[in-house]
Amino acid sequence: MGDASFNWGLLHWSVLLPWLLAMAFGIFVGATPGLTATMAVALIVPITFYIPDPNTSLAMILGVSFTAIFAGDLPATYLRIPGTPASAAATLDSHQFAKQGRGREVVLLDLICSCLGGLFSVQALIWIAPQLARWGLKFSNYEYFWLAILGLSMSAVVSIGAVSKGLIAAAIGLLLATVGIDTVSGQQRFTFGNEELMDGINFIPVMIGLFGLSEVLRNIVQPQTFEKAAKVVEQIPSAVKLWLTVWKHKFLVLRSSVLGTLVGALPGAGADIAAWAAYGLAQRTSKEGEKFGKGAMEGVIAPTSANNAAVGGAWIPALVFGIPGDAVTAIVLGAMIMYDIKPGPLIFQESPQKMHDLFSIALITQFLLLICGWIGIRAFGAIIKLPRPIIMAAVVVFSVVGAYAVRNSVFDVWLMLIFAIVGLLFERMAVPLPPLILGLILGPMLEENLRTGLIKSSGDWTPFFVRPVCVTLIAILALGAIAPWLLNRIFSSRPPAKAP
Amino acid sequence: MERFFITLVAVFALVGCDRSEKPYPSQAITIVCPWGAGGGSDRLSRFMADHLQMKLGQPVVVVNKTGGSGAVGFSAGANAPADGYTITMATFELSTMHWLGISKLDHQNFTPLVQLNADAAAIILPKNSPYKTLDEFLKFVRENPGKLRMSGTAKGAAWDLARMGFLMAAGLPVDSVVWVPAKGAAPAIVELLGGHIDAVCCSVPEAMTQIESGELRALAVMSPERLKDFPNIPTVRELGVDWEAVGYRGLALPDDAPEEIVKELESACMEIAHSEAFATFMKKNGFAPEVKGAAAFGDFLKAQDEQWHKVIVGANVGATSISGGGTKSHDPGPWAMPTATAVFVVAGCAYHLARRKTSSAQGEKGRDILLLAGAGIFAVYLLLLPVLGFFTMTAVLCVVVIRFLRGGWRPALVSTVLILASVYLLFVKLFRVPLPTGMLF
Repeated sequence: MGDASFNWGLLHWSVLLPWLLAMAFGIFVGATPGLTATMAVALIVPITFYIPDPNTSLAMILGVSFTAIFAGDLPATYLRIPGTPASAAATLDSHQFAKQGRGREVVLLDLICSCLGGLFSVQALIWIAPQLARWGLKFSNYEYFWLAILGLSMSAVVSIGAVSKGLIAAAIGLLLATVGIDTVSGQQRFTFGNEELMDGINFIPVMIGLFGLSEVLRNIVQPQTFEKAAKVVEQIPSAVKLWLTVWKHKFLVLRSSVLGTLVGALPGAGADIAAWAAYGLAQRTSKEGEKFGKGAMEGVIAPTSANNAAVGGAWIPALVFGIPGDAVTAIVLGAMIMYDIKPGPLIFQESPQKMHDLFSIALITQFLLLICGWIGIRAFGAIIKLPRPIIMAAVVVFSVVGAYAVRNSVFDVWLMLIFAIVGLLFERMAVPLPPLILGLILGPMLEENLRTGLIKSSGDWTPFFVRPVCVTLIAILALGAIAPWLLNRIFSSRPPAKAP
Repeated sequence: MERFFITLVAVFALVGCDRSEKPYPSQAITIVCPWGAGGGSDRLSRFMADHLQMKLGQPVVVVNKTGGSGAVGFSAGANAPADGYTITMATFELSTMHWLGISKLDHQNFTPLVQLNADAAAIILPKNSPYKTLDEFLKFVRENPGKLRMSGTAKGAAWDLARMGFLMAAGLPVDSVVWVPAKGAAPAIVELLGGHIDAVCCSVPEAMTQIESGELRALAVMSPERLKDFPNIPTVRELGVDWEAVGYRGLALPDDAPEEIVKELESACMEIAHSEAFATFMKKNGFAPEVKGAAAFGDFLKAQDEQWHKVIVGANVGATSISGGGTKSHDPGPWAMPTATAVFVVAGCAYHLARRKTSSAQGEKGRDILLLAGAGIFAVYLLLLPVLGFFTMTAVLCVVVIRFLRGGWRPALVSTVLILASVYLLFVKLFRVPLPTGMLF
């Protein structure tokens, strides 16, 4: 994309002011456990309907989604409670650093890596999306089925701990995903006549329960986890040291950004899965895999680069196929018609200027994030000094609001409570949680495309294995399966990375 | 103390009475939209809310209550007090969901206010499709049952029912065409463009971009008369199939709404629906305006209800019978996936149990009791939440949590007030998220 198409009009104060306000809101929602990035976007979208300029609206929405995903790392680092589910992986190593008084250093690194991850994914969006659009019409149920399998194969990577337990968790997720009205046959499954269950189990209350409320319950159960992370004297790192750390890990940032963008682009899986996948990959390929979870800098950098990269990645299938990469983009997709954008394979031919505006907005957002994020870190540093019981109470209140507001339903708050207990029990049994989420999100995509594909082919399985895109996807899957073994053979001087 | 409570009750009673004293509307009005934020029904709800707010001088708030293919939102709207402060966005599903066994509600649970649009279903083909006329299309289906693949919505949803009714009216069995379920018209159109299916049944505006660019063409439309914007597309009735199918949207109050409130809202809505802004909005969103007043909308709903009853019974569609009726399908069925995953989970758990070292940690019992206590408190809170209201109950919960974690009384009370005040200002006031109010607050 040349400079000629860059829309400088976006830097006018009438655009910048609502943009920055929206980003500040994104920081607040992202940094508040219980309130998710999805909610931030769902709340901001109706507000943008009142704004006459579509570019300002898009700027606000993009601003909110990128900042909220970054800000989720703040409470994850300081409190061990992720602000958004996408930051759940940051509760591991980032929190260890915070306990050593290096919290400020870690969140500043988070900020830089979030911006870098975001920049990478926006570049990918700009360069890959138009190319992919040409292939868009070749995708049908058979191809989407394999995409879902590819997404599910991530559960082996995101299983921190025993892979076999991770697969069980994924299967439980798939089973939970079948609750509700089956769109293929129209029949109800496991609804027990309850209207609230007919649209299935919404994964947002599930995630708030698994990662947010469960931490409060754990504090009640084990008061000894009251570690005074914030009370430790904080070292303020120098800017030079920060950039040197980033430079040292430049390939990790790049690799995590690539992975984050890819996972984000997979329909269904978003920033949350991307962060876990990047963490898992970094652990498996690190020379010091055993340090992970106890304070490894790689465990900080990988997930935070990947989750912001996933935000940009999710826009690729949204624009090209009209299929959202994650829940956030699904909301935006519905609203796009108000901004005269009709997603689909023809979008780059039909409205090139609008696409250039969108790309410019996404790029500028990354630089604004650097400013907003820095202010957000300072503000959060002040709030964190409050006594722990008060913070926990606030987490409970905002979790209730967050789960309720998804569709204004008390039922979803119950769901949150149930999954908070499930989360605690799973943790006790050392069953990883991310595969469960993965199964829950990708379940419908897997099942519907398999069955719809069979309806289309009159029961014939061959299209799943002979269509060119399918063959490519199967090859990628096979490559992914043998890659760890292959890497170990090549770097045989290194002891093989073992899952603990 | 006793006096204080009596005064309190009296004040509440007065506030309660106050509502009926003042002329309608004297407080905020809610529009319940059974569909999610950003979708077509949501956009129309928000448009009507903004304009009603200008007309009536009271805030009008849209609440998305989604779930159960509309059933959750419709039951919230139907069970609200019939005082004119809760309006429901009534959509097509109101005429079908009770026949499909998804809900017990139907149009008789509502007082119709105004109909806003009606989008007729159409049969859409790719430009190079061999069928030039509807006769050719039907002839092929008659001679090759089960060969043609159509898509547009999920099974049993609007456009699936529309094409079923169409086939029945044309004297063909509903399974003479294979229905490929889709998430909506947009992905179905992409499938059609990619040549993965043969035809799509959806409204003309949904395929407008591709029809105008010449990539798709509409064979026939299931409207009573030809569409104003597309006079070249014949209706199926002209071509000899006695059938029409429209997806509609409108506004309704709960049943037994007072007549003067219905009148007032109807006239306000009709003014909006005849405005320039409405026409522009509908065109931008690709909705075909079809404005009817309360009485005409009521008749329309009644006729729709009968029409879809015939289709759903005739085609043997129904939430419980759908897999039995219709096509001899190649679908592995709705229970294949749950069975497979359940078997996997059970086998996996058995494997782990068999290998488990018997070293159950000691001292976990005390923790379990604490966990049960914590979860129990939360469960009581949730049970009372809808009864007593969000802010009352949450204030109690907040204090309990802080005390449980050994915080002091004073910080507990002060921070509870501050947390709840910020929730109120941000969510209730700024973003208009309606938190449950219950009896108190």
